[in-house]
Amino acid sequence: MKLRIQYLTVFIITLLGTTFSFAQDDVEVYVADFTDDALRLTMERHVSTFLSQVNESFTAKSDTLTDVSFFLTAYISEFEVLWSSTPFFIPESTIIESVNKLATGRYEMRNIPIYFVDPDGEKHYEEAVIQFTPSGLISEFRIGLAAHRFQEIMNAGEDAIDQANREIILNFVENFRTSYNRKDIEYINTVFSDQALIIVGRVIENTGVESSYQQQVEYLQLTKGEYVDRLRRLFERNEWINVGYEDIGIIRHPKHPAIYGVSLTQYYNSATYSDEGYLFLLIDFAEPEKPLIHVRTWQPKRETPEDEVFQIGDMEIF
Amino acid sequence: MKVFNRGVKSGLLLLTIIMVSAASLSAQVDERTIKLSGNYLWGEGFGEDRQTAVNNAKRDLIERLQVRIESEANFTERDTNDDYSVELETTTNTLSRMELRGLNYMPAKERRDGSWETIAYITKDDFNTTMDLESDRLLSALKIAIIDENDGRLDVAITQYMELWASTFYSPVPFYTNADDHGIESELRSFLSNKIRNWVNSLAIDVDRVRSLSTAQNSEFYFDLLFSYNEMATSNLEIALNKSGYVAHPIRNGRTSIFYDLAPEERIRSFNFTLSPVIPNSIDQEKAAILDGVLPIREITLDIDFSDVIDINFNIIEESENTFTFVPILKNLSVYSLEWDFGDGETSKETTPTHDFGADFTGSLISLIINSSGDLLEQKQIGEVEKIDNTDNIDELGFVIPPNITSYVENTIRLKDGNSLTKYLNNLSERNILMVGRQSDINNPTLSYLAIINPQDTLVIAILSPVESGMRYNLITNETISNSELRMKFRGLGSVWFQFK
Repeated sequence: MKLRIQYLTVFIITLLGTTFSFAQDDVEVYVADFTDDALRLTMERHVSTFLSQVNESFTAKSDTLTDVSFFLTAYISEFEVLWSSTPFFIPESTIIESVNKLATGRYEMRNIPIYFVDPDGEKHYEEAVIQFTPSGLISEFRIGLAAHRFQEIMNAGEDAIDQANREIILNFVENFRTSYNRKDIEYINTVFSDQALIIVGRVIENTGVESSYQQQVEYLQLTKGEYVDRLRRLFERNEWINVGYEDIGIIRHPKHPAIYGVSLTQYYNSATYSDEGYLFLLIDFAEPEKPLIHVRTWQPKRETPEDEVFQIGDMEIF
Repeated sequence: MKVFNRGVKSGLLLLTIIMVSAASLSAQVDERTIKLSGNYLWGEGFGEDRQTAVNNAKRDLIERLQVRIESEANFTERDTNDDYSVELETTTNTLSRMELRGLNYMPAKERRDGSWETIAYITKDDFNTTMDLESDRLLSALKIAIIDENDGRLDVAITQYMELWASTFYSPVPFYTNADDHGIESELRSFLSNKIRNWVNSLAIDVDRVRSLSTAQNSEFYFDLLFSYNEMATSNLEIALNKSGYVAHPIRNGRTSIFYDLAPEERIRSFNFTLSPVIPNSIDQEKAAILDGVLPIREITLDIDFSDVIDINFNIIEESENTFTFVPILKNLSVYSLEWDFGDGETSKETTPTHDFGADFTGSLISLIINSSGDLLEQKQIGEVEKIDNTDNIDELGFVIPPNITSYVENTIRLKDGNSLTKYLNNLSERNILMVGRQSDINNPTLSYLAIINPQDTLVIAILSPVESGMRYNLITNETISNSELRMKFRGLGSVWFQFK
């Protein structure tokens, strides 16, 4: 009987051993459906090392990664800012994803599962996007849209050209969102046009005027400079900021094909403040590599009736 | 020992059970095998619920099938081409209707954010089988269509070609046929595209006749056209005048009538038409949408001759010895602009003018010109053309009258004085060699020579040849001149028409 238990134990240990053969921090990434074997192996090696290092540094509560040779040199500092403000870890030990080739010649891998952990210990599930240079170096890491949201928006594309434009827009929206996590005021400064129209809704406490909404909203118009100054102060005051987007709608302007209206619901969380609001961005993709925001409006979600949410039809473009 | 034996047996039994389980587990395909083994074609789907994830997975698989084939062909070249986007979208929407044999799904699983995901997959062998079956189906249908065409059932064959052409867009892989006349293998989609293009571009189009249903107030013409392909009447087409406001007319059994409602400005006028294939009703909407984007359109120019339907005439009322009133006789008078040329240098744009020719009046050639046209006109003579009887000067001029027409014509060119020329022509007329006189005296003015004489100095300006291909040739200056230019160029000059018998 003893012997039988010994056999069984050895066998079960052998079986389990195959399941738990990887260290907990290690992440193995496989690139599916990619014909260039040399580049595939390079990307697999780089992204596996990167994500394993992320887990290792997260566990060690380290401010830096020990090896950054898999990064494009110009991107290292940008990632370090993100890492220091919002550290995260990867909950999967094996990831199998395909990569898309972008119009720029770079490659992109989506749906990398990550968890952000707030200073209070609360975990947020997100999915990241990793971009590679044509030689396989990691050139960007950003917080992506949830896979089903991304697929839903892409499937709504009318044709392959519209789909390509939508991909650019979603890429931009994801970068814009990640810039808040990085508290990257320079990026935000770059993407707003100097003459941008920025409208921020503000809830006014009981005005005495009868309304279906108990509180009413007052709109402030800000210049780009005023808006960027407000953000800078906000970034300084908050140890961390996490922004999430839902209900993303993309509408192409009927007369100006390079101009898109992007409407979304924004969930804003920071160390000191949280809110939910309708965000509308009028983005000019005349130069796809350098999109410019001409209009940004924000309206508090709870206090704004749906028919009063800004949309592309409210904007007259000359 | 017994214990040991039992233990070994039990261990082996357990091992067997585990191995069988492991074997059955390995038979169930996992994500890693599907995505990395290279034996599968797959698509990934995400959604807020299971069903959306399944639908999206199938859609993603179909898109990947298309991209896979395109990348094996010439994907990068076509990537920037608008045609590619149309084609990809079409295939994405329609391939789902084709039965993908062996299509399977991984069990949908819930993701960390509460959404669902699954993978749709098919082995490469199953995919190839699906395509082989589709290829067989299309090629069998093609054979029947070719038999229909050869047996003279052109409309049936064209409908089949169109339907098959649309069907090729469902498939992400190209099919091949050797149905070419020379048995050369070609890609099925190109073969069918060429069939349809050849049908549209090689159609023979004839103007059967021009009909007029014009009234006094409006112009209303119908051009009856005949269409044939390899001498077979054809349908499934429509034709429209390239002018805004003109609708397309369906062609049935090789015939149609085009409506036209403007007064023509010339006897023969060129019109531009657009000829387009019509998708037969028997073809379903989805295929019709594909065909709508690929069917060829042909631009055609046809010369329409209105001679038979524009009857220009006028009456002459003698008011006094020198004064006449002219009354036009035209079916739809109000739609035309009229111009009268009284032959004495005077003109009028009145509808029924009265003209005084003065005391010295002996005769004049009256022209009624329609729509400022060079050839929409009617001419009548009033009074007499003075006949020159004196032919004595012929010999004095030193002419030896040659025995053939060419020589007579050459002689006319040498006569620079109008009076001499007229005498010479009258002489030939009296000798029954030619007819001479005004346009109305000549049997067929287009076969007639025409001498243009300046009444002021009696000099011969031009001797014009009979009409050839709508043009006359000025034998003096070696210039060509169209019928429509004739009147403009020689306005106010006299003319003598002569035709050899």
